[in-house]
Amino acid sequence: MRIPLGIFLVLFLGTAFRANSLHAQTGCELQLCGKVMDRESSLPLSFVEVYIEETQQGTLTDSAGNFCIKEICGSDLTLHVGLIGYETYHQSLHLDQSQQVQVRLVPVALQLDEVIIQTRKNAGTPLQSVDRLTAQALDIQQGKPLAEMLEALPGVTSLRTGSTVAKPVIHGLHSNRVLIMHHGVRLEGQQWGSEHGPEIDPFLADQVSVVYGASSVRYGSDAIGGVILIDPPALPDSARWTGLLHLLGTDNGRSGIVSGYVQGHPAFLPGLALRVQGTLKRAGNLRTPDYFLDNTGVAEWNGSVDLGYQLGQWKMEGYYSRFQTKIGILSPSHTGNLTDLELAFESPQPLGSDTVGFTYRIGRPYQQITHQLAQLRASRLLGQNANINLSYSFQNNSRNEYDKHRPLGTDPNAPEVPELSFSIQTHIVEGVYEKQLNNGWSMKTGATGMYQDNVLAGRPFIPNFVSVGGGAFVIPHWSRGNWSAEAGIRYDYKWINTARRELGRQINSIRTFQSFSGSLSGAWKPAPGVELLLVGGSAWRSPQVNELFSNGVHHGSAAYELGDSTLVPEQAINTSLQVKAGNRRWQINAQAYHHYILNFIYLEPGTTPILTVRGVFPAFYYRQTNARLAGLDLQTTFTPTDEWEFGLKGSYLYAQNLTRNEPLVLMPANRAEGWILRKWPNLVKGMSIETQLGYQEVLRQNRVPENVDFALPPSAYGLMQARITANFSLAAKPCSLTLKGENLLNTAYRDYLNRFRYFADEPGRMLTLHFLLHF
Amino acid sequence: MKTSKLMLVLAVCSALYACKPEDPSNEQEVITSVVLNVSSVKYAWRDIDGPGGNAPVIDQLNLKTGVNYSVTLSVLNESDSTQVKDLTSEVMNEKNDHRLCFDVSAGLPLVVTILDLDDNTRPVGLTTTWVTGQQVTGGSVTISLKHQPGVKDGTCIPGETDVEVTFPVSITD
Repeated sequence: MRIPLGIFLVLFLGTAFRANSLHAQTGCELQLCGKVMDRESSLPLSFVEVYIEETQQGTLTDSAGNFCIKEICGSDLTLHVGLIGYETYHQSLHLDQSQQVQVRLVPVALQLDEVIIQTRKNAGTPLQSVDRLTAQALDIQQGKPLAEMLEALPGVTSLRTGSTVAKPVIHGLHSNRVLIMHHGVRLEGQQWGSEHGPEIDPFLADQVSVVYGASSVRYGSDAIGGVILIDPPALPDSARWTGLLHLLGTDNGRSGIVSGYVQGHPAFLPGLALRVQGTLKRAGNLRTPDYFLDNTGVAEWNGSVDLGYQLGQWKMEGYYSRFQTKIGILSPSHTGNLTDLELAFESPQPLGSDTVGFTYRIGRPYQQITHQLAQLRASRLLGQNANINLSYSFQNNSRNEYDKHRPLGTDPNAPEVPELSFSIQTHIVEGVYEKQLNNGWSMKTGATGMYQDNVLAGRPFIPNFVSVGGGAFVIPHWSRGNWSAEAGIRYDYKWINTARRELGRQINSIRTFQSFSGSLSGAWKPAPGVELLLVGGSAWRSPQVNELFSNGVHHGSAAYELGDSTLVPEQAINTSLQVKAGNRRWQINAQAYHHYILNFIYLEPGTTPILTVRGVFPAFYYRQTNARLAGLDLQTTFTPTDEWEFGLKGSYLYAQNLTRNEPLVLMPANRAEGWILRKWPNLVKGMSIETQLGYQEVLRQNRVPENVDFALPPSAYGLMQARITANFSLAAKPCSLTLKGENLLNTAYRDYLNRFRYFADEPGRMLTLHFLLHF
Repeated sequence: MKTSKLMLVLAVCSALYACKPEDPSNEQEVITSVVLNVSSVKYAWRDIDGPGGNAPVIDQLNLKTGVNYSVTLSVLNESDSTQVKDLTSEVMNEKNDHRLCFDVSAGLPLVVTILDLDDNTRPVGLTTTWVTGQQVTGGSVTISLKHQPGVKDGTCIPGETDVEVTFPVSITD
C-alpha cells in the first residue's frame, strides 16, 4: 500500500458526497472499470484516485489496483488518475459502451527531463460533510461576492453590508467562527466586523469546498461553524501552455470584469511550472427597483502567481496573491447617532436618493483593502508509505476606512487620510506528516505556529495587539470495505498582548488561552449510491480583541459596544448526520446537524444608554451564554429524462440562546428553492444549450430576541431567476456564453442578514452576460 | 516531524522577542465640550475623556423669566488639558456645510432665534437670541450640530449629526 489513505478516502468521500448537482446527468448506464499499475514494476497500485473530470464521479483503487466507476453519464469524458509520487494521468475517452482500461502510472522520481508538479486538491480534508462548487458551478455564480456565490450550496447563506460586502454564513455561524483557507493557508484579515468581507478573488478558485461543522482538529481554533477551502487549480503537468479567460458584464451597476490565467512550463527552466492569474473589476452605482443606491461602486484588481519546481526529492511550490479593492459604502448608511438612524428608518427610501443617478465614482464613505499572501510549500515522500508537507506563509492585510466626511477642520486640499486604519501581519508555519500503516490504518500528524501583529490607527475602537499561537494534532484514520472511520485530537495555545489607551494612559493586558479539541466520524456505504456519514466534532475559539476590549461606537450600527476582558473561550460540540441516496433518476442529499456552543459570545443589550457628545447610544455588552443551533439542509433532484431536471433545496435553522431562553440574533431565515433545467445536448452541431428557471423563497425571520435590534425583521420575499448557457467551440477552443437574469420580476425587498436593510432595498433586476474561453 | 517541531519552536521563540504591541496613537480631532455663553454667563457640556469612561459633566442653565438673552456657542476639544483647541472657527469656516439646531423640550417657554447666516442666507446657529417666558421647574434644550455638506437646505433633516447634547434648563423669577 502507498501513502496517505486519509487524503484519498476523503477525496473519495468528497466526490461521492458532492451535492451541487445543478446539472442533470444523461445516459447514466455505462461503466468504466480497470486496473492501475506502476509502469516500472507492474505492481498494482492501491488507493489511487480515479475520477471522470466532467462528471466528478470517482473512486479509489482497491488493494489489487482495480477500480470500477458505475452509472457514468455522457460519452466524451476525461479520465483522471492520480497518486502522490506519480505523474497524473489524463486520458480522453469516447465511451459508448462499458469499457475496461489499464493505466500504468509513471513514478515521478524516474522522470529525468520533465518534472511533474502535483498539487493535491483538498489534500487533508477531514472525514466530514463536505459540499463543493466545481468550476462549472462557480462559473454560473461568477460576478458576485464570494460569499453570495457559496449560497448555491445548501446550508450556506451570507451576511451582507450592502450589495458589495458579503461574508459567508454556515449553519448560522459566520465571521470569526468560520475559517477560510486560501491555498491551504488560514486567511487572516479583519474578521470581526460584519462589514469586513473576505479578502479573496473569487476567480482564483477552480473549486470551493465547504466543510460543515466544527473542524478545529485539522484547521485549528475558530473553525466552529465550518471551513471554506478555496483552491486554485493544480499546476499544469503538460508542457502545453493553456489558459482561461472570463469576460463578464452586468446591466445593473454596469459592471465589467476581465479575469483569466495562463499556465505552462517556461522553456528557460526545465522542471518549472508556472501560472499567472489576474482579475480586473469595475462597477458603479447599483439600482433598486425604485432608485439608485448612492456610492455603491467597486474597483478591484487582483493577481496571483503560482510556481512549482521539483528540487531533488522535494516538491517546492511558491505562491503569491494580491487582492486590492476599493468599495463604496452606501452613503445614507453612515449615520452620526441614534437620531439620524431613527430618521433613516422612518424614511421609506434613503434620504436624498431622488437626486442620485448612475456613476462609477466612488466617494466617501469607502473602504480600501489590500491583502497579500506569500507562501512557500515543500513536500516529499519518505519511503514508500509516508510523506511530509511543510509550509510557511506571510500575510499582510491593510484595511482603510474613510468616513462619509472628513473630520471637522481638515484642510480640504490635504491628502485623504483614513479615519480608521488597520494593518495586520501574520506569519504561519505548518508541518504535516502522513503515514500509511497496516490493516487499513493511516495516521496524520502535524504542528503549526503563528505570529500576528495588528496595528490600528484613527478612531479608537479596538486595541493594538500582538499574538503568538501554536498547536499540534494527530488524526488516525481507518478504512475497510464499506466502512471508514476517523478520530482526531488537537491541542492549541494562544498568547495575546494588547495595548490600548484609557483616560490618556496606555494599558497593556496579556491573556492566554488553551484548549483541546477532538473529532470522531464514521462513514458507511450500505449499498451502491447510498452513503451515510456520522460526524462528531469539537472546536474552540478564543475571544477576539473586540469582544475583550472594544469600547466605543461601532460605526454605522449606532451601538455602543463594550468588551469584557474576562471572557473565556467558546467551545462547540457538533454532531451531524449526512445521508446521500439516489440512482440515475433521482438524488437526495440530506444533512441534519446540531451545534451546542458553550460560552457562546454575543452582544447583550444593556439597560442604561451611554451618553456621548454625539448623543445617546444604546449600550451592548459582550456576554457569554450557552447556545444551540440545530437544523436541516435538504437537496433533491429528479431527472425523468436526459433532457430535464427538477430540483428542490431547502434549509431550516433553529438557534436559541439557552441561558436567556430566547432566539439568537441575526440568524438566517428559513428558505427553499426550486428549479427546472432543460438541456439540448446537440441542438446544432457542436453546440449544446442549457436553460434553467428557478425560484427562491426566503421566509421572514420570526425568531428574534426582543430589544436587541432597531428595526423588525423584513418581510418574506421570493425571487425569480433564469439562465441560458450555450457551450460551443471557437477555433477549436471550448467556450461558453451565459445570459443570466436575477430578481427577474424586479421585486423590491430587504433581507434580514443585510445590515443595510435599515436604509435601502436590495438591488433590482440584474442581467449578467458571461463569456468564458479555455485556450 | 522533527523538522516541523523545530520550526514551531523557532517561530514561537523568535516571535516572543518581538511581542510588544505598538502604542495606540493617532487619535483624531474630537469635540469634547460645548460651551454656551449666555449673556456673559458660561454653561458647559463636557466629556473630556471622550465616549465611555467618566460620565459627562453637564451644567444646568439657570435663566430668568422674560429676559432676552444673547447666546454664543463654542465647541472645544479639551481632551488634552494643556492644549485646549477651540473648534468653533472650523465650524465658522465651514458654515455653508454646518447648521446648529435647537430643540426646546415641550412646555418650556423658550424661543431660540438664529441670528447668523451662511453665504446662502441659511441659518448657522453659533449666534442666537433666547427669549424666556413664564417660570417653570423643569425642561431642557437639545443642541445638535449637523454636518450637511452639499445637502444643507436650511432645515435640520439632512446630513449627519456631529454633536448632540442636552442641557437641563430652569426658568425662575
